[in-house]
Amino acid sequence: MQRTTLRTMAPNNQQNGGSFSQLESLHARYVGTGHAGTTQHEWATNQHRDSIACYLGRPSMLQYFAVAEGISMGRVKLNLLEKMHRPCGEPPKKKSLDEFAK
Amino acid sequence: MRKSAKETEQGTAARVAFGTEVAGFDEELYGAPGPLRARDDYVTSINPQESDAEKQKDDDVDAAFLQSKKPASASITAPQYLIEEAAAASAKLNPQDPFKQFMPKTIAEQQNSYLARGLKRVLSPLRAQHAADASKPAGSRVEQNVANGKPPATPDKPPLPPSTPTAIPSTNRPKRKRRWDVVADTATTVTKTQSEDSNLPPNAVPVPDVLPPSAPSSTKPPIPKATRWDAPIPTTTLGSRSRWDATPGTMSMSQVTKKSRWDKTPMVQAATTAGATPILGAGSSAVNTPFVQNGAVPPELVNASRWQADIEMRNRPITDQELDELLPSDGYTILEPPTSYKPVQTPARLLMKTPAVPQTPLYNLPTESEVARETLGIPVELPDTLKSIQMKPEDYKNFAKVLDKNSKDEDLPAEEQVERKIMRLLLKIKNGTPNVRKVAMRQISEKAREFGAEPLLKQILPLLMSPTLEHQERHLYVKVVDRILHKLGELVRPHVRHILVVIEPMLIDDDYYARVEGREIISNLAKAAGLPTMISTMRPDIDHQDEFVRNTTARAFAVVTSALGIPSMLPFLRAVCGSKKSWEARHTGIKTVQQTAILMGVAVLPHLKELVEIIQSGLLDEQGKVRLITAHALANLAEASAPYGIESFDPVLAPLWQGIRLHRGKTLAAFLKAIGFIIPLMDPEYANHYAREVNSILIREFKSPDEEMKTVVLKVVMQCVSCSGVEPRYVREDLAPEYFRCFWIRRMALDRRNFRGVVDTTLQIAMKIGVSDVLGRLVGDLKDESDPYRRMVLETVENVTDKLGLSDINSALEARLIDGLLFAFQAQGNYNDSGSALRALSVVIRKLDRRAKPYLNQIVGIIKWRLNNKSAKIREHAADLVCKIAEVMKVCGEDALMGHMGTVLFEYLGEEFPDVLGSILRAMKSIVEVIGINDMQPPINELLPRLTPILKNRHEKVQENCIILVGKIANKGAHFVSPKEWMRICFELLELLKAPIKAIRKSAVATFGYIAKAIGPSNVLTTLLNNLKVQERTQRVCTTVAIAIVAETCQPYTVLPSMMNEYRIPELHVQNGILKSLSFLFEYIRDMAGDYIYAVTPMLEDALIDRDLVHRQTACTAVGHLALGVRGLGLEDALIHLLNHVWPNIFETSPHVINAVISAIQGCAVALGPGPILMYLLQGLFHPARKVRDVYWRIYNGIYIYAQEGLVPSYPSLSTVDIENEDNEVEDDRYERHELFLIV
Repeated sequence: MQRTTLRTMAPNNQQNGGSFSQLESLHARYVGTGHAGTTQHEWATNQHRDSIACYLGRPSMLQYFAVAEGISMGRVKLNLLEKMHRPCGEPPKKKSLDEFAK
Repeated sequence: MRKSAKETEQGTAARVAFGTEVAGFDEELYGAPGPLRARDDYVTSINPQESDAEKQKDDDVDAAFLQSKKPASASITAPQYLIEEAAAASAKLNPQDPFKQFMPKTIAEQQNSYLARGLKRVLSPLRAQHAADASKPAGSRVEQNVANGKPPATPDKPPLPPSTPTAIPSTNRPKRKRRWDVVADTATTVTKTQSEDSNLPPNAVPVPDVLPPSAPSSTKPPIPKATRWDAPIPTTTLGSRSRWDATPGTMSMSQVTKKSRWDKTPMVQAATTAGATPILGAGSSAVNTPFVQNGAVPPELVNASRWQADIEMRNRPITDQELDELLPSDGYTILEPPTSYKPVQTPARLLMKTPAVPQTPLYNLPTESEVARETLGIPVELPDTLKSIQMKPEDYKNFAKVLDKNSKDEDLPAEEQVERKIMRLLLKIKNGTPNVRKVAMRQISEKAREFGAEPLLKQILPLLMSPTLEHQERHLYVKVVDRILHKLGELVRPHVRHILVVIEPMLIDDDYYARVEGREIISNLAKAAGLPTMISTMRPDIDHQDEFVRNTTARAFAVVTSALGIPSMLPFLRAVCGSKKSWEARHTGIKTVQQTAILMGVAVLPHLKELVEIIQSGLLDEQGKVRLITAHALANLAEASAPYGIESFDPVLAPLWQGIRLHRGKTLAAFLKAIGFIIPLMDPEYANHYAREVNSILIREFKSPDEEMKTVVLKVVMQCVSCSGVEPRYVREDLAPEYFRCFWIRRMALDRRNFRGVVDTTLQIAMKIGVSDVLGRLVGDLKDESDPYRRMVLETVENVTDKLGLSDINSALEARLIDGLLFAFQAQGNYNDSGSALRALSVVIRKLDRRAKPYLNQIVGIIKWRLNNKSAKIREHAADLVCKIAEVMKVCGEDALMGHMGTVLFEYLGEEFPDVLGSILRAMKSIVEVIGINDMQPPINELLPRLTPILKNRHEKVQENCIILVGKIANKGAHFVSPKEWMRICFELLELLKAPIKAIRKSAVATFGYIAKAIGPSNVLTTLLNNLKVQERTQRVCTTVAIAIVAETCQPYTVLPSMMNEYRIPELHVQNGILKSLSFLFEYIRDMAGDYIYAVTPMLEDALIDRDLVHRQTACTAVGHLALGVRGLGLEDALIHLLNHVWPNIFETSPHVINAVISAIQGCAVALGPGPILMYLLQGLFHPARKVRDVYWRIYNGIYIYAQEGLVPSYPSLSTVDIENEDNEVEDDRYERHELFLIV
């Protein structure tokens, strides 16, 4: 799990100051955790990164991919590592309200 | 009687004359009529503040007069006997309050004179126009007021309404001289004039309100003559309603204050409540804060004065007029009083004797009337918004503006409205209930920017400087400052100085929390205002002449450094420490470094080199104080960075080691201290070298009589000796002999600090040179006749033996040691003994182990002897010693001796003193432990019946030891005792289940388990289940724990059926109790629960769909424990079933319930794996309703943290999510994890 800067969180009226900061420190420590304002893209990105980290830690898994794709294990590793950056591409543009209206 | 009147007519200077037609002027009090009256420079108006123009003039005159006529004050002082009498009277009326020591003390009362200096710091004006005000001569008057202990006038007071009577032009009353000593206080002007007889002679005494005025009130000339009376009437005026209430500051003065005011002795003033007003410097009058009017009248004082006034009234001398009425006119002649006659009358009494009141008033029921409240300055009715607030006396002054019900905010200017709003919030924060306070706190921080920094700080800061401030209040105000700092951010910049003046003294407060709060505020301030502002604000204080200011400034800078990081402060510190201008600046800079080291600890390490370089020149400074502080700073830096960073100290090694040869006294102590902290950082060989270098000095200073030097030397010796590089031989031969000669003397044992230092250092030396060397030197001293010295030896023996054992001492030393210890043990006094002999002896015996055998007989003999002693403490120690050596006795094979001890102790079970009884029980317990139940003497069946009544004892120590002993017997030797006896004990134990000490509850619960095991669970269980019906919650909770314990010790199947049967009773307490014990049960039996899960599932199911919240909560806890217990047993089906019942509860909002639900779900996540839980979660993670998402993400976060890897295979395929990319093409597989589709 990589450390990213804390995403801006949607204001949360439910929580008072105490648990808000708790949540904040939770997010700071575990990047993959989410909150009510997490988008699908963010969630999917985290899934991918966690999965890739998981594959990279298991040589047999890498071997399997290597055999299936017909490339060397090192290449598989490199591909996976490169994919870490933006596994799901750029985040989708925010649709404005009138687009929804169309 | 008639004489009295005649006599007064003589008008001698020593006497006072009142109530007579001719001389209505007290010449002693108010000066002789002739020459003084002729003074033309008198200000002839009572109140100079009526109009601005006049005010200006008067101020000037006032000031000038104050300068010129100061010596005149001496002649106008109240006579000493009057003051003493009044003080005695008030002392009689207000005897010493027995609860005084428990009353919350104000901070000012607790501070020493150094800390109190903080209050005297100048609060400069917050506003420019205030500064302008300050330039007026009013400033000088204010200072005068402060010196008098009187509240300064508040120039911002609204102009008086035209109807208010103002001072009469002086021409109207030519005789009425304006009193120079009367503080020009607008308050006096606002006095309500009472109906006063205009026909009275101009000098007539105003009629206090306690006496109904009898004279017809034809006209009401607003003659504010009251002001002249306040001075000589210390107490009697307090009860009166008239214009006195308007000058609260004056009223509150006790007699002492009065005196101090006249005598101009500021020290006395400072001691009084109303004194010690912060000295407001040049513009402080303009700050216009209510805090300065802190004078408050304690109600008891008012009552006392009222009472006294009444007495005086009744005992007043009879006047001529009255005598004329009483006595026939003929047959009597009026005699001249002899010249030697002196009536025993005090001016205070005379004041009460007024011609206007012909008869003594009848008794009035003392009622808490509105009048009385007003007298105290308390508004009759508080505004509605503040109704519920508790008020302290001084609050009525501080918050006077918002306490008047009749004043409405609407018709005030906006600025004042804001002021009142803030004041109201502050009052609520200070005195409100927690809820009120919370709301007010939130409001004030939310609206902070709206109010603006200035109005807020203008009110809070003076309150923080108030001399009547208490800890709680300061805490709250500081909290307010903290909150608003966050909100205000850079807006506070102009006010940094004011905040610092108030907060800095907190950094050296005695109270730890005050220091922490002060640090927090300053660090927040630094973050809000930024480094440049902080530096430019505090720079003038760096070389301030007052040491107090420099001290606090250095500490504040240290806080700023730790808040903003050392690197940003380094250039500034370098400049300050190298200052050529003044040594004060260098001193402050180095002190800042020192404080930074203390504050930041090991975090100084990255910048250690720079810091040392910055301060190193201070070691060679020409100013002694700078050298001193530099050495201290180096010591703190070395301490903070230990055990690293020696290379940074390289440049200072030479000056330090040279310095110890050059300096003496305090500086030498500081240098040695620095060396002591630096040596442990060095490599072993260097440490050895440098330690030897310093040792010659150290040994020389062993003999120093200076206490501080002794402390430092001890510490340095300890640090040197503990270095691995220093050779034992060197310490043994060179250091130790001198050390023992100089420090092991009786005088060292008398001071606590030295005591500790010697004990610790000797331990270090023993670790270096071995036990036998040290003990050999000390053993003889065990028989010393000085008690404290013996204790020091004993403590050292204990520590050394405990740490190093006794394996290397020979038998001769061993014998001497035991002999000495036994002597010390027996010589210990029966009072003032901390048990050090007991501890030392038991440690030595334990360490001797087998070698102790020869001495045991002797020791047991001593114990038996001392068990008979009259003193309870000695008996207790004897019993404690048995407990400590029982194990060694077993090792030495002295079973017979132990049996004997058991019987002896058994006989002492009738002991009355609970502490001793507790110790005896503990001794019994340790014997039972060692010897075994079966061989116990006396036999168990005799012992236990004696213990049962002791269980009723309320003393904690007795209860605890007794229950543990009973528990031991129940565990190992239950068969010795009849079941009936055990049942009886069971009932006793039920009481103990709610004992306040956890250890007792724990052993009581454990004993339940043992007893249940011994006599079968059914009887015990019946008792316990019945106990679930009791009202008291603690007892029910303990019962549930006991049930669970019984189930654990006797197998769950013996208990579960009856529990489940009991659950059918439709009573909430019982059902909850069963569920709770079920939850404990599952917690205790862990995986055994697998056998019973199917049996209890229907019951839990029922509980989970119950209406009652607590019911579901407890059931959830039970499910959580159950799930954790059965993990890996293949019981997922039941768990899924239970989870289905748990899941709907996730939207509960009560914190206890939701926590229980979450813990149940997390328990299930452990047992089922995260996958199934994720399936539940997927429904709600992106639910349209935020409330739903909130809860689901919370649960998701829980399982993500618990088992993130486990989620990887369980994540759903996201192929169904359509995404538009940059080119507005819809992609459907961007979120897919393609690798997982690879197939070989």
